[in-house]
Amino acid sequence: MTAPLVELRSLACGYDGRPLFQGVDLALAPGQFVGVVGPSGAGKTTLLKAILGQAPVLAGEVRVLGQPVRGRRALPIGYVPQVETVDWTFPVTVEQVVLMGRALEGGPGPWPRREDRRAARAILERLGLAALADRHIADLSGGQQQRVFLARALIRQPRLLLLDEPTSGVDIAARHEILHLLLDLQREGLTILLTTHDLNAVAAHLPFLVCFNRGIIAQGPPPAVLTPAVLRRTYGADLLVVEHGDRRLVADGWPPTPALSGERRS
Amino acid sequence: MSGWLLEPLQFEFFRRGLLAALLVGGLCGLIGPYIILRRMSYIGHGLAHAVFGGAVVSFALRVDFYLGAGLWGLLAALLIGLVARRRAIGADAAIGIVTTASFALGVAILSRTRQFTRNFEAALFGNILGVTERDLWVIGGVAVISGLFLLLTYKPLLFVLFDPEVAAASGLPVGRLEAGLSLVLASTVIAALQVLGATLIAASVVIPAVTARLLTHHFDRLVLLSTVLGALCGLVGLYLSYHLDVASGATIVLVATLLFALVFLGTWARQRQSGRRLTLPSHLVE
Repeated sequence: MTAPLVELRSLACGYDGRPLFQGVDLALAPGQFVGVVGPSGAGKTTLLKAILGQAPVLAGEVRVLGQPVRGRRALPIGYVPQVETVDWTFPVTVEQVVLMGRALEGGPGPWPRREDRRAARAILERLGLAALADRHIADLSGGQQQRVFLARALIRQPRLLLLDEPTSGVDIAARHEILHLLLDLQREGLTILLTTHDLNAVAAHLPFLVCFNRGIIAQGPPPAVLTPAVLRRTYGADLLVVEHGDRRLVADGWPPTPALSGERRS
Repeated sequence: MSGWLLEPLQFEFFRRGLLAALLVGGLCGLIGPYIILRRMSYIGHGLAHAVFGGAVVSFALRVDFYLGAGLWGLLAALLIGLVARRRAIGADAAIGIVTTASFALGVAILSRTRQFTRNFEAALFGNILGVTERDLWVIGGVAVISGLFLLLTYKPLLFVLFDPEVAAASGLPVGRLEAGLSLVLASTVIAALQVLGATLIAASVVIPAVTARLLTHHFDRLVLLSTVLGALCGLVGLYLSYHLDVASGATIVLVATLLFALVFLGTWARQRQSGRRLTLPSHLVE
């Protein structure tokens, strides 16, 4: 087995000394595509921040490329935050946001280096945003906004891509587009870790899942972890798992009567 | 018209004042976008009042104003940090307590020692016509150093303003950049005190930036436009102050406010005409 890109060893993180999650052991091999699922408040975002070295570690350690993550260091990681956390009224254009990904090495002064500009153009082109380069970020659709922040992460040429709820706040077409894009990137060798609350439309399509609620409940391919027992422990509620061919569909199990079988609930 | 412009220039106090107004106006305009986007306007306002207390104390103790005000500002900042550390007290409340207390201390000392009233009217409301050559050197020095800092750290600072968490995760020295910005704000407040007065500094920082914000979505153009507007308001305000015989600091702020009102109405009318409202992404509009 190849050496893991990211390794968490009995990691506990939390604020004010109170652990939000603990005992987390997780290893990401190069080229893996992993989805973290769990209810809100489960600590998924903090888990991503711990990998970035931005969460208070109470116990255990985080290693990236075999080195412990400590202090300020430019890691080969691209991070795409939740769109809800972004200040959309901030006066920047699409291209300016993408160029932020090169802020560290871009040299002094306001003028972007020619190679950075070229890299930004190429990535915007690839993500279908070239025509929007000069637009204000508020003038975009949810899917386009998501891709702008993906572009900012990719211009860093990362080894690992972390995405926090990349499909929240976007419509179905944009969700498909983003998932296809991510699968393409994985095929090119990028390692990807994302969080999602969408079990059917996102998690079920990923090759590997981590069920998370204040710690890892289970990890494995979707058929192995999308089971009533694991989901019950993850969400603290009964969920219905329906097998359809080789796919698994999870539905809200309430009311807990089998009479619903055959009916479709959304 | 040319007489209107040229006549006051024969006086040295006016030439000095004009240079001071241009520099301070431009400097406040330059840092304005950073302050409003970092939501530091209230800190600026409080700092100006805290420094007023420092000015009075240094006059009473016969200490150099810039030294006294600088140390006092630093002390106020440390106290704010100390008070804000208590979880039940927010940072804004801490600023309110420390800076107002410092201001009140200044007023109290002033009411006991009445002999330097003129100086204190200047510290409160600004007295641009009393600007000395030394003041000009200080203002010019702060303008050059602040300008250089903002120019050199432009890219990382923009990232920090927009998204401090991801900036930190990308390896940028967020703490040092923010400390640098606070230092620039504090130096600007101290340099501007003589010209604009404690009560009017925050307005000169905020108004040009907000006005420029109505006109552009580009950060680079925002900074440029805000600087130009700030300097312009200083220039126009000082001439009006001379010809109308009105206090200079107040005139500069009123000119800026008028400009803001015009731009506000103009952009509002244009938006109504094109039937466009403020564009927010769909997921933020319930």
